[in-house]
Amino acid sequence: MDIAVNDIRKTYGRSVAVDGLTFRVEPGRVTGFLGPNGAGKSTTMRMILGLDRPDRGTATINGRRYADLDHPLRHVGALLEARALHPGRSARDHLVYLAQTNDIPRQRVDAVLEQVGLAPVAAKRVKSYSLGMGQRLGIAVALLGDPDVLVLDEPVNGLDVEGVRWIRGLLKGLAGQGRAVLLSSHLLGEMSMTADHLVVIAKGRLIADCSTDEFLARGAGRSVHVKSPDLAQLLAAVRRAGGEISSTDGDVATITSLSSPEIGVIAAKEGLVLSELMPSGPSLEEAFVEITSDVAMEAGV
Amino acid sequence: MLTTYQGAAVAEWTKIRSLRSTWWTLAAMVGSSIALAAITCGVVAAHWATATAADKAGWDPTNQSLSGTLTAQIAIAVLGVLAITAEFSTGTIRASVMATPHRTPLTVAKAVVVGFIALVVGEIGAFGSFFVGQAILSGHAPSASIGQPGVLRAVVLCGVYCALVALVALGLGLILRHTAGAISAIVGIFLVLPGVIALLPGKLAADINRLTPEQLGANSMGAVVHVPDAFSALTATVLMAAYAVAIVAVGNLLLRRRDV
Repeated sequence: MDIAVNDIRKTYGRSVAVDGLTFRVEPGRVTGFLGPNGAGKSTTMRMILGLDRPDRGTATINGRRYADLDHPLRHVGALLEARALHPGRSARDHLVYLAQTNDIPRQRVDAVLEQVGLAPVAAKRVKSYSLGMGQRLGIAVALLGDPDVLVLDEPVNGLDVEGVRWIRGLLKGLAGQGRAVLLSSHLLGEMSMTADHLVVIAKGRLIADCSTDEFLARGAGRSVHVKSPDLAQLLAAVRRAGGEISSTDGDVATITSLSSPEIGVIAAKEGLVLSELMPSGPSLEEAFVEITSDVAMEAGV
Repeated sequence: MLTTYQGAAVAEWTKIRSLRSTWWTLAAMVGSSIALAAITCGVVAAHWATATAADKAGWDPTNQSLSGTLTAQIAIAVLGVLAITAEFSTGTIRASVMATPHRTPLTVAKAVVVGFIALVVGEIGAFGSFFVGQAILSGHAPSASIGQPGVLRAVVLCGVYCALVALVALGLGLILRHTAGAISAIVGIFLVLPGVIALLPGKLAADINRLTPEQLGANSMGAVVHVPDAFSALTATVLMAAYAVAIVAVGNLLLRRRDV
């Protein structure tokens, strides 16, 4: 099971939301769908899910358009905007009617309520739910049909730390079972902890489609933080090995152009004490801003 | 194994029964229908002795007792509107469309469930109003019994009319997608339109007026005594059903065409 997006385009009036986007979401990993607000992430997801019709191109799930899937909830689970729930209906009734539409066994309703931790409050009307509970119900809806493909739009929005950690573990576990997971976010740091692969877009266009590590490496050069009582000797050895020192302060320094294992080897060879050795790669934020601004420059924006 | 249509219909039933507002709306419909029948029949009973000969000549006790149901149709229309507009206002329409992506089964399922509920409740309202109304008239003014020619037909068709009104409302909800807009349209068609038509010159007004849903219900489907210029009960039922089918069909076409 995979998702294939092929050259899709969508305009609303005169504004272009998605412009010729092509990418794939492979099974067995979490694919992060990254871009600033308004980049076209939600529109793309809505086209994958058959809610919006692309002006051009196709979005398919295992080679078929969403609308052509028989009992689609059993193949694809989705979480779009949070709280797309009738406030007067209980969580259980919401799940029950969705299960009925796709002939999903009733036991799945109890199973997903248990899985997301809503079983004790399942009979309560949704209007009494907190934001986090609503989000958990949204995840339960996505998991209801035990689907091989998951499409989740900003699932961590508004969740507390514990909820964020829970979703992170859940999604990694689902990908580990061989499912294809597409997860959108504008929270870049969160993405680096969850996604194995990134599809990055801005202004409706593809900017990067690569592993998360590769995306980070494409950003500003890596740097390594060191602390040593023998700092002067260490830095001399580092310079001889081709390293550059970007800053020093007392017994700490930041070294670029060498990796932390390389610096560790140098220190060992010279018999110097290292009290701290820490790679400090660019944050995803920095890499993201750098790459998107390059593209914007090229496009003359 | 449920087919897409069966699954959609069962799900629509779950959706509608799981909301308390459904039961409040239906209770309001039956309650106001019977209460209005009691009040209007009570007024006639009290003033029958002083009624004019013309009033007495056109007297239709069945139609009088059903007038409450024909007014309470607005409550049924609200149910039909909310069955779809609440999905748009809460966003559940996206879950519904993802579950039933071809969308036509969704429309058909909603029409079947809304139509069925409105029919059952409409018949309860119609029969309840009839028997309460006749009991109040009895002894004061000429009253009807269910066995008289045309009486059972009028009472049954009054309930059918309610079901068709609910479908018209559902169709308007599908087209307009907003609760307030669709309810305004209902009020416009059922309550404002007859008044506007009345402003037209003589014969033209009558010709157009008899085509309005309100007249089809009040003067044809729910009538035993023939009203001048009105359609027969059968013709009126067919016309009203045609309106309902046409509006739901347009609504379905738009649901399929437009993004949700």
